[in-house]
Amino acid sequence: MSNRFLLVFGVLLVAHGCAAPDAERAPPAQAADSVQPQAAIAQWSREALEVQPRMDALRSAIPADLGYTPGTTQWVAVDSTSLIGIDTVTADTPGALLSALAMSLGWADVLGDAAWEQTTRVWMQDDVQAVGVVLQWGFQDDSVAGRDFRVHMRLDGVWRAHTVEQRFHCARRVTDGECA
Amino acid sequence: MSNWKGIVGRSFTTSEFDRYCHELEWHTWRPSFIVLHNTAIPSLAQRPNGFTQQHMRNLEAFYRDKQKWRAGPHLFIDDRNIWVFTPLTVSGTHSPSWNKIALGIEMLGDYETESFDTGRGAQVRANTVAAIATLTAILGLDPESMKVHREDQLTTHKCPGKNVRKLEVIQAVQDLLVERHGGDHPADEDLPLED
Repeated sequence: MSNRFLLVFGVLLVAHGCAAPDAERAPPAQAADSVQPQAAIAQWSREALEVQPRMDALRSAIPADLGYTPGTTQWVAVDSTSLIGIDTVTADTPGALLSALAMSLGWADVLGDAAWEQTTRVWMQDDVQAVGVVLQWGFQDDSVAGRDFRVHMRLDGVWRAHTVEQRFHCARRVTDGECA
Repeated sequence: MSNWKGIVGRSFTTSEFDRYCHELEWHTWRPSFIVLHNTAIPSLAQRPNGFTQQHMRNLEAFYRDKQKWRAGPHLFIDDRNIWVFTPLTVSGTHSPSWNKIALGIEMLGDYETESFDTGRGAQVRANTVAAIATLTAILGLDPESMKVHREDQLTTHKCPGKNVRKLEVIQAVQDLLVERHGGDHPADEDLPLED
């Protein structure tokens, strides 16, 4: 069976209306290049928002003789040329906005071909601010295993994105901030 | 059921590789260009004797059983040999944007830090240039169509490392093609002038 026809899993976990009292002082996201197991981090937390549990599985799957040391690059702003049209994308909820962005910016185009899966999550920072992530995994690439987008969204009548960042999960290792 | 496309798992000298490729037929899939990678890990230092048959089997197991891919890169090239991994007549897995349309060549070495111009790196380069020249000639590709993996806009990475300079590789391929096939077609200046 061709990968093209394999089922693509998309998980949309929209966290709405349950911001923690100290949401303004949300805990920092996981450190890049962390090798601590991530899968056990509880859901519905800012810390869990950006966790890519597939990294744990990758680390355990790599034969020792390959010498790979998988790591994750730091978040960096997405080049503005890749975000053309983002100002026109609005939605009534941050979850809908995130999904619309993934479609309109072509992030989802890789599914079924270049990447295996895409997971989306949203964390409500407060009533008018939210952070969403689009986690893509299973790139058919010798150095990059996954790509994540992080979108900062704000309610201004409708929900709009104001900052978009990305990072990569590197199968072999991180070198000077990029996958080797 | 596994969709694994299998591996060839054989190593060739440059001349043996040229003969091998002349026996191949690209009926069901024909690549449009070549994508150049480096392994980064292992580096040249980590493989002092280059690749072995066991390394090919280990890579096959990783791609097939762990990554669940249907194929891997087409060639692994070290300072001694050209290893054919995924059959050259089927699409491979190496660059997400180009897997369906390009051959993938993995050069042993970490050319972010290791030399590509001297020592073992230079020999890897020579073997790679020879392999690309063979494939370019047989498939009728434009040498300038070759890409390096870091040009894939879908992902950001340092593959191959900065010591691999694309234009120099292309020039070396073109020079080798002239050396190999320069006598195939008379140069214009050798043709009789017409009145």
